[in-house]
Amino acid sequence: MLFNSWSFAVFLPLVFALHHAGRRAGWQVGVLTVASFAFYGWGTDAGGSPHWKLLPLLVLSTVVNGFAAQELLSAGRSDRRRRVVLGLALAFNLGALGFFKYAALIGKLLLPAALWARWGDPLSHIPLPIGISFYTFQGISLVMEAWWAGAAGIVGLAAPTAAGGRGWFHAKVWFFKSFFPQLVAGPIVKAGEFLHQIGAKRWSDVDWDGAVKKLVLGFFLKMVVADNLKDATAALRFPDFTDLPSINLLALLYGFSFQILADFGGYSLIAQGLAKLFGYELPLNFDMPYLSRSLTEFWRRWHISLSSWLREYLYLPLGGNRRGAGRTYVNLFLVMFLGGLWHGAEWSYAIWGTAHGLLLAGERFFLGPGRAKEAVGWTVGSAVRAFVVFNVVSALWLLFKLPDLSHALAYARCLAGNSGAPQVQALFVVAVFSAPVVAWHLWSVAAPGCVRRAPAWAGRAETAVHAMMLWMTVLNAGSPGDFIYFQF
Amino acid sequence: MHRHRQALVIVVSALLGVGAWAFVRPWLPRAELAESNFQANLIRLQTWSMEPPRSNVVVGSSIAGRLLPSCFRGTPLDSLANLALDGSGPELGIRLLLGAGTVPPRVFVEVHRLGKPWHANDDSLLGVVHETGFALAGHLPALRADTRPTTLLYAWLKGRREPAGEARAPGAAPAPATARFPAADPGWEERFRGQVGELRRRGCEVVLLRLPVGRENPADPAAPGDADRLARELGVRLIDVNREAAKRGLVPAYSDGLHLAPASARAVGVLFAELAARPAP
Repeated sequence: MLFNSWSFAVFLPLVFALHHAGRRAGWQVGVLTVASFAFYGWGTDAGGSPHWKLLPLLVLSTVVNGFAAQELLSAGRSDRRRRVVLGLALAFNLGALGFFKYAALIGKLLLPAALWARWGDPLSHIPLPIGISFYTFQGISLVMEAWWAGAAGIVGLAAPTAAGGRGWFHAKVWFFKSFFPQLVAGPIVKAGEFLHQIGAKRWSDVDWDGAVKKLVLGFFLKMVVADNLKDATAALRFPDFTDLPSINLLALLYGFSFQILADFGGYSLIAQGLAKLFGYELPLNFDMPYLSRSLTEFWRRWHISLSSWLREYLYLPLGGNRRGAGRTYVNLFLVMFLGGLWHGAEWSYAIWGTAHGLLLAGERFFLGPGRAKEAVGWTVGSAVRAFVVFNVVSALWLLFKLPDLSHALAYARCLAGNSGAPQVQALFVVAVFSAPVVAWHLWSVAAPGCVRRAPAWAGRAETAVHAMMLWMTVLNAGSPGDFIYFQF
Repeated sequence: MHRHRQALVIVVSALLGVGAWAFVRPWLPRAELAESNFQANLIRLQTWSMEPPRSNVVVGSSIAGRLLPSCFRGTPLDSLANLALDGSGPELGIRLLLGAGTVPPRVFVEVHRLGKPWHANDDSLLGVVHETGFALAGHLPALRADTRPTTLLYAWLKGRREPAGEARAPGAAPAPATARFPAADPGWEERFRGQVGELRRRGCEVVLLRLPVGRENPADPAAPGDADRLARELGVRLIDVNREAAKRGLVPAYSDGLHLAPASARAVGVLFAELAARPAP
């Protein structure tokens, strides 16, 4: 089910009413869990295959990770047994991800030509369960945190005892793994961030102001900005773009940069707003990424939940920056390469991640770790740096839009060599629908000063702007489209 | 209560704003052009579907799509409904007409994209008319595409840039064409014959329409000989605006090397209406 669908417009009030109809935590968690599985299983994919067929894998993932976490958190387990459980759980999670997402890529890489000729077709047609990358990472987070915590327990999740608690333990795990606002496209929630929040929620706990503001901004970014930009950036398709003049090619690339942020950032804000309606907080996923003055800063602002997951469960266990400069560069490179590959089984994603990894390592080498992270105050120089970073990031987004490397290179050639009169229609769309994203970023720079100087005025302006965004969402939405990150 | 106040103000203000937009809509201009193909198609679909039935409908591609309602103002085709959809072809327009229950008395079929293979874009346009949002716009006109704020802005800017009567010099060198033509679908003729038969069975007069285009598609059945043959074989009338324009020395201009520029579209529209008003030979 999509957040921007009519079925969701019926689903949400129904679930909200049922959730708040009971006051006990068990009822509320039960309602949200059942609703989340219904949300996941609703509808069909592009090929007409019903989504409920994907439910068994989500159930299996939940059961396996739940029992692994229970084992790891239980007192009196030997180290050897705990290691085996952790190993099996990680093997299951990575195996499921590898099979459903990377089987074709791995097969093509490793299988001899004769075997690939026989198995290539079935391997290439393994369906990709929606959200598998997201809920698998949450599963890994659960078992890793259970491994680290041991019998001390994760805050909000203690192992069941002989006296009981098994049902509530697993109810919490099922809820954590399936909570519908973040189930299919994040933010990737770590166990320690969420489990302690599970409990009875009252109507009066709902932060309506916060929820409505997040929902309004999220839906505006998705339905007005991203969906309208999508109609223009559809022209970035080989060979359609080869006749376009350079100015249009550049504008469409910028437009795609804003579209991908509005699409995914919008989704994340909607997820946060929905969670607030039920009394839960999800982590911030985007923090004005196009204001970044270095790539290091960009990765602290873009898809924060993935970056922090990779940092916590991959970069730091690999040694982070504690094992010398050389190892730090290798770790950075490896994490970004795998982070790129996380997005999909295409070499273009690996190249995208690798390019980011190399640039991050280069930045660290030339600027030093301190300056690469530095992000204080605005000067002309830092604005120029932000513009350069935006251009580098935008150029690399091309690999998302044109996964075939030869097409991306053709785009670069056309950008450098095409002439001709600008096509006004696409320029209009990019200018008009990118403007809100630019304004959103600029406002975040100006807001603290405005709020300090005239808090009442700033509050009223914020309300008016949100009302205007809701008005635009009703009257000016683009053609409905899937969320870009669903494919990951 | 304090944590509800801002949310309430946001929602109520937005709803009042939508109400105000609905109130002033009758006085707002209606956009004929849109900033995207999808919105331009939506305007045509909503006009055809939500306004009183028209006796003349044109189906086709973006080539006939340039013949906006304003091109026919004051002509015998004043109330022509345009179902020539960007990125699509006549097959979709006829399917929409046949699926709508009643067919109009006369349908003009642009011949330039008759052989266009069916595409995902056609499926999505066919699906649009069955969507809840489309139905809702039928009941709440403020939600219609022709009064979207950014569409009105685009149409206004476009109108200022190319005011009535002004166009590029006739025959001016076209900009590089962006359209790439797919090969014709081998089964198109059989399907088209079936559609024409069904339209005529339901009392509709089918007229083939050939327009000036900036660049011919080699796979099109629009070459003069082909269009004549098709009309003869089907026993339908052909209006060849392209031939008539050439006879009269009208040299149209093309905005992107393929589609008629606004002033030329108006001139072609007037000529088309004049030819359509003549009794069939």
